[in-house]
Amino acid sequence: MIFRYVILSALKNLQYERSVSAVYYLIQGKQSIQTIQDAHLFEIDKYYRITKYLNKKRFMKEIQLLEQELYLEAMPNENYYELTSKANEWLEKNESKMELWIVNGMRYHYIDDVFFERLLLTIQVWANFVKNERTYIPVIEKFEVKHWVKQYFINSKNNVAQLMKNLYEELAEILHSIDELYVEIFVLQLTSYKKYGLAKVQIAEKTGSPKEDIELMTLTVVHQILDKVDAEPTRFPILAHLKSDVTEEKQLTFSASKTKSLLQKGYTIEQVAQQRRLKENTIYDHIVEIAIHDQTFNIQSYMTTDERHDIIKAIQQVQSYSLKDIKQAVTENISYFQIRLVLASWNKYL
Amino acid sequence: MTRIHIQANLYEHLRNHFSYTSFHEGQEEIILDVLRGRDVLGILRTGTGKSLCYQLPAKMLPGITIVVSPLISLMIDQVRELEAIHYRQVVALHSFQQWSERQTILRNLHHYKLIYVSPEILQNKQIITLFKQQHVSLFVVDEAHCISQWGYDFRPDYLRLLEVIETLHNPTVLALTGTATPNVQNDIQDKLKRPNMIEHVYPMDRENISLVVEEINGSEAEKLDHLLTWIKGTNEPTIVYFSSRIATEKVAQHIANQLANKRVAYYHGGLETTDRLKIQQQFMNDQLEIICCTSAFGMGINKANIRMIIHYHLPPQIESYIQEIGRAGRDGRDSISVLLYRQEDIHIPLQIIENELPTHAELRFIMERLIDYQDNKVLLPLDEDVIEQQFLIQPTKWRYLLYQLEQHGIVKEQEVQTTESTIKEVFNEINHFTEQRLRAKRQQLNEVINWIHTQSCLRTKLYEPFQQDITRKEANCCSNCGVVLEDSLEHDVSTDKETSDWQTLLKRVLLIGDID
Repeated sequence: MIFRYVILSALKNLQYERSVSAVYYLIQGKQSIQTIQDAHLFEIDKYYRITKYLNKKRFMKEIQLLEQELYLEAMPNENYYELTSKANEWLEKNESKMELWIVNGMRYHYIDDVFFERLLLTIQVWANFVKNERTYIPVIEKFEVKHWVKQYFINSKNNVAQLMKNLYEELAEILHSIDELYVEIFVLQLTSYKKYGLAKVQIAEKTGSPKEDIELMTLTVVHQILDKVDAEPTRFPILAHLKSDVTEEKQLTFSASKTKSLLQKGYTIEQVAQQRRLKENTIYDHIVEIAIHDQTFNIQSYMTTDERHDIIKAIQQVQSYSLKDIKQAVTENISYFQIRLVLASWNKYL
Repeated sequence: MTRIHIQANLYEHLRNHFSYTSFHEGQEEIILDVLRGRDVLGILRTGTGKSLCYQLPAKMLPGITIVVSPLISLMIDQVRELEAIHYRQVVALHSFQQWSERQTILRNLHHYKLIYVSPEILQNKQIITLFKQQHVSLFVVDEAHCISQWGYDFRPDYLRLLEVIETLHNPTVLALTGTATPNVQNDIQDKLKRPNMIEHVYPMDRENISLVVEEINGSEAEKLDHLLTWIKGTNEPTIVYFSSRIATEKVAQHIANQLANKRVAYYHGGLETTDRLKIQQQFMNDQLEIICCTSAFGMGINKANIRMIIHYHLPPQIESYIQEIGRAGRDGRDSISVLLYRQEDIHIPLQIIENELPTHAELRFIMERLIDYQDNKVLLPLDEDVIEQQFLIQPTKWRYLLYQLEQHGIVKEQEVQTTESTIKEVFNEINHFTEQRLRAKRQQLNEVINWIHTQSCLRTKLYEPFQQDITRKEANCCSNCGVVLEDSLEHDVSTDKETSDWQTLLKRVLLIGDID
């Protein structure tokens, strides 16, 4: 149900200006300017990268089902769909239930996995240590996570029993404020001494929900823990430590950040392009990317005030974020690049 | 070193790395030959510790030991288990790894003594170049029947292993398998161009497993009822094999609905890695008693107390059946294997066989496309998703075809080099070969069917092709000789299905109140 809700409400927010692929790229988390720009522009940034491991086949199957069950209606353009009245009613009916489901994909997508995996493995390592069990199969296989938890374990070795009590207190405090069903789904996945947590497919069978819903519900708990810990890190020292050194690497592509530093040094677009042996168009892309990530980025140097007003007016007039439509409604000397820049910082003008 | 020295040394290493004091049948003989640099073909029944035959030498030989393993999940399992007993310097290279992880491993190749790889990985140029710079002491082909076109699961990259071995300056070769008829044994040596391998062949019959074949003259629903009856009769670890993923899910759900006190889960290759790991470990830790699974489950699973193996669908050949039932009763206690069979079931494996190899039409379509590739001087794509889109063919079939095309010299390093007339000729040859493969697979299935319908002792008939003397089992031999089950009463035990609230669950996980 949650998975469907996400697809339908994202599609609705996109105002039928994008194909269903845009929804897929959004929730799967494609790191393209277009996707990130869409996320901000259409205010669906909280859905960004919330189903990282979703494959396109599975997604398209759900779209097909939604069409068969008359929630979606195909539009003339290939892969464009419209919500039916049945879908709109359904969304409305489930709105209050969905209030429990809180995520913030744009904010936590780079950390939620790592944090949860470190938590899972740390609990397993501590529990086995306390029980004197030295040969067991770690529940997380990822190299980086195993390495990190090993280091943490070495540093915490002398105090494990106490730390486990503290971790219980920290988790219990946060989990109390979350819906019980969500919390249960989260807790059932934890692995302890000689007791492996349930697989997502097992919880899905148990609760009769699709696997994607279980993932999305787990994500709610993880994001809310991260929220609470971010607000008061000193109150939750263990949880804060588990997320301590994860940084968001990929906000800006490496190439765009290089461009950014050259621009900051005062080089013009042409100079940057020349120096980096790139096409000017690529530099334009970088600038749009920079503007999306940095809402304080000054776009004034790339257009006059009049040009900016002209673009804003055109967007309001055509009631669309389609580049083509906007371009037709502005004076001819305004470029696509300038329109994209205004769209990149559009939230400022609302 | 003298033989005595090596042997003393051997036991010391066995104690140090594995905490064992003695070997199973066959292990010591194989290891001694391997250490002396002799090429060996070892046939040891499943569950007798085949892998020790290279895990131990790997620690004693000066260079690296490379193990070719057919399944990624199998090599991950093995590495996991070795790490759990603190056997260090072991790693697996496979296609599911992140790029950064693989690069870290490759940079540090010299740190490892034992490296698991898939045959596909050995076709990677970067990797083979790096291996070439290392000193490789031993090259192991695990589940070596995969090499043989008469073994099950024919994989073209297995046939390229000979080249790999030559590139790696001809290290000692150890080929291991659990089941191989004399035919397959010869084929393995043939394909590895090692006609003088020392053969260590050990009997594979298991006298503690009773064999039951139950033919059901009725509907699918009745067959399902029979399955439930078997499962009701035991509380001990049970594996139920199916030939399709969807069937594992459906039947697991059915069992959960019908038998509320049973803890059951399903397992197949379509699950995410973490889910697979968790379910497998739940079974290992007795949190589950029944696993409904495809053949993806089981290889490398070392659980001693599995009491019952049920085949809900027909196995595709005798060899895989022997391997699968061999997972029961490794602790030596009496165990049982049950094969449930309806006459209509034959269609399922026949269908699977048809789907495994490219059809006539698929082959024709691809041959025509190849000409376009040549005319336009375009390289063949590597990405299997792209292949699927452009050639409308599943990756497994494509791999089979690509090997054939390379063998016929039509494709060389992604480049198509041919003429219209050669293409026609090759098309006919591949077609012919494919038909031959199809016939062979159907023949293997036929052997299973024939075995099911045996009137005499099922045990004798099953192991006859593999060994000369078959141990007589006095009681409960097979359903033809007569099996009396003592345990067939329905047990009524309460299993701890979780019904607690989350606070209690969380406390249990964090051992609150359990430790001080």
